Amino acid sequence: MVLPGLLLFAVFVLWPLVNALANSLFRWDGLSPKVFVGFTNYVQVFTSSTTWQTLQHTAIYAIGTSIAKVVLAFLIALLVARRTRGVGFFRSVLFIPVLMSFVAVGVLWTFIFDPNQGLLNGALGAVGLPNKTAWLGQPGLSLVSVMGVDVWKWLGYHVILFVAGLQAVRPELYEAARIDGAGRAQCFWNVTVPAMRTMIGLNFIIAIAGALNVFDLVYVMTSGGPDGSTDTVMTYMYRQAFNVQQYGFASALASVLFVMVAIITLVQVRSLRSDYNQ
Amino acid sequence: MTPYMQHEASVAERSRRTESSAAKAKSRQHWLSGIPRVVTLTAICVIFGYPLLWTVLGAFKTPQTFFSNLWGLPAAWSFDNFIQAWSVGHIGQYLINSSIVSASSVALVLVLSLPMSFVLARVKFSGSSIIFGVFLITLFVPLQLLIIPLYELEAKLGIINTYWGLILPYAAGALPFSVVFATSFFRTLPAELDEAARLDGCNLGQTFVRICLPLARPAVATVVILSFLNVWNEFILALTLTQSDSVRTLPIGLYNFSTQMGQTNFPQLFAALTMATVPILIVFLLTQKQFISGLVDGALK
Repeated sequence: MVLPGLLLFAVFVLWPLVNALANSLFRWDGLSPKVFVGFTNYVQVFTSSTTWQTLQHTAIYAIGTSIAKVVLAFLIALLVARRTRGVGFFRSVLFIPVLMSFVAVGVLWTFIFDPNQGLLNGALGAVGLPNKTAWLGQPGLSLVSVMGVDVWKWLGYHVILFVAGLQAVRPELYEAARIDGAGRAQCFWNVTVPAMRTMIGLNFIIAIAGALNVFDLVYVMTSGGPDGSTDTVMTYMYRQAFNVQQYGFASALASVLFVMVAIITLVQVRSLRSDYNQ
Repeated sequence: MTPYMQHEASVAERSRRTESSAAKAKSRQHWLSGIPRVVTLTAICVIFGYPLLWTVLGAFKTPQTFFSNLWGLPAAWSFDNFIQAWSVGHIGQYLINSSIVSASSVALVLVLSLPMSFVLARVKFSGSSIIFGVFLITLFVPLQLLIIPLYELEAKLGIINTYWGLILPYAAGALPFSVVFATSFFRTLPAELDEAARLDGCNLGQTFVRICLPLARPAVATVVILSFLNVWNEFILALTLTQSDSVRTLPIGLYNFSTQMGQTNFPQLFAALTMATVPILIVFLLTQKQFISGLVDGALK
């Protein structure tokens, strides 16, 4: 009962995982035979300025979107944890983007961001604000615009996790705090926030782990442009592999990203566990 | 289970039990209530809801009137865009492909992971903890990072541009979560159940199928929902491992559609967007409660 699943897993995950690491030690264009080059690819990866640029973009993307998602989702969850009229509808609306693919979301927002006919500039113009902004066309702004769309897509998911967490806070805690004379603000900072620490950490892990290998949204909305301003490690890796057939270099890049994802996840999971054990 | 996971499991459990009482208690400690709260919620609703509504409305407008009537309702409701996107844009074909690939991947994940999880939870054999450990470690390996070796592997196997070329890696990629999740679930079922079943003459397989599997329905639902959502929306593997419209899934079809003709015909693109989103929206609306609690339970593991 165990073997079939294990076999599939070995062939389609474990073996590719080993190969991904192995490939990074070869020069290989997909056609001619692989040539062993040792750590040359890694040297090239770390000496390429594009690598550092894409790493920087990826870091900004991961940190920025995860902070925005966690903070906004937490605040919204506080508003909708209470069941009042319309809250069900609100939660559903917030949740629809979670169901959509990044492609659908990306295509939709590319049009909303359109400088001339887009919805966003139209809305800004209607209330008298500057309405000629090229949201995706300016190197200084494009990354932030794409990040905003990522937050838009995933916010509902984090709200739902926070709502579940808030509803699990024991009511006795609030009662005890009130008996001790705590006001609303004190209740929030001394009861809600500590009780939600694990939940906040969990949301961070999910958000960061997802954002580190961001690809779909960037590929659909900007393809890394303009001028490389939204290029991330994943889009760079994909281009190196499937556009210019530098499979060895791309594998080295993928391995670096993999190690980053692994380290960050491990560190976060560990700190969450020690949090709980305290 | 680690203490952390146990704690989280109990949080999810408690959230269901005390939902109403906790909600009542919470209502007294919000600093934002009344009118500011309603205004904030409405504003958020517009930011999230309007682009979606606008997409659907846009799909009914004609290309000629789209830009002159950017904000309002369509002057005349036309289904032409849907028909065009369905046939000329191949959205119909992509929908079929996505359905086949998603349903098969989810079915394969269930068939492979549930018996395996049951055995891992119930039978101590040499290597069982290693197997579980491997799945636990690979829980956070993004399948997307394996795209180069996967491409190489599938080229060797000759399954590039086939349904199997997507189904197999999707199912394999979904295994770590479903095995870890289902194993943890089966461990929560009391061993006395198995004992009683054995006394009644059930062997291990019968105990699994007749006793434990029916009890595992919530866990199965969570695995189905999470793996279905991931597979249905997956992009980079499908982009790389498919080459023709007869195999391409919706996200790829939608992407190609938007780069080829979408730039000139927005209403048709919006019709395609709408049709690509409606199926999963229907699934969500039909199973809303289960869907949400599945996502929550899945995240807490």
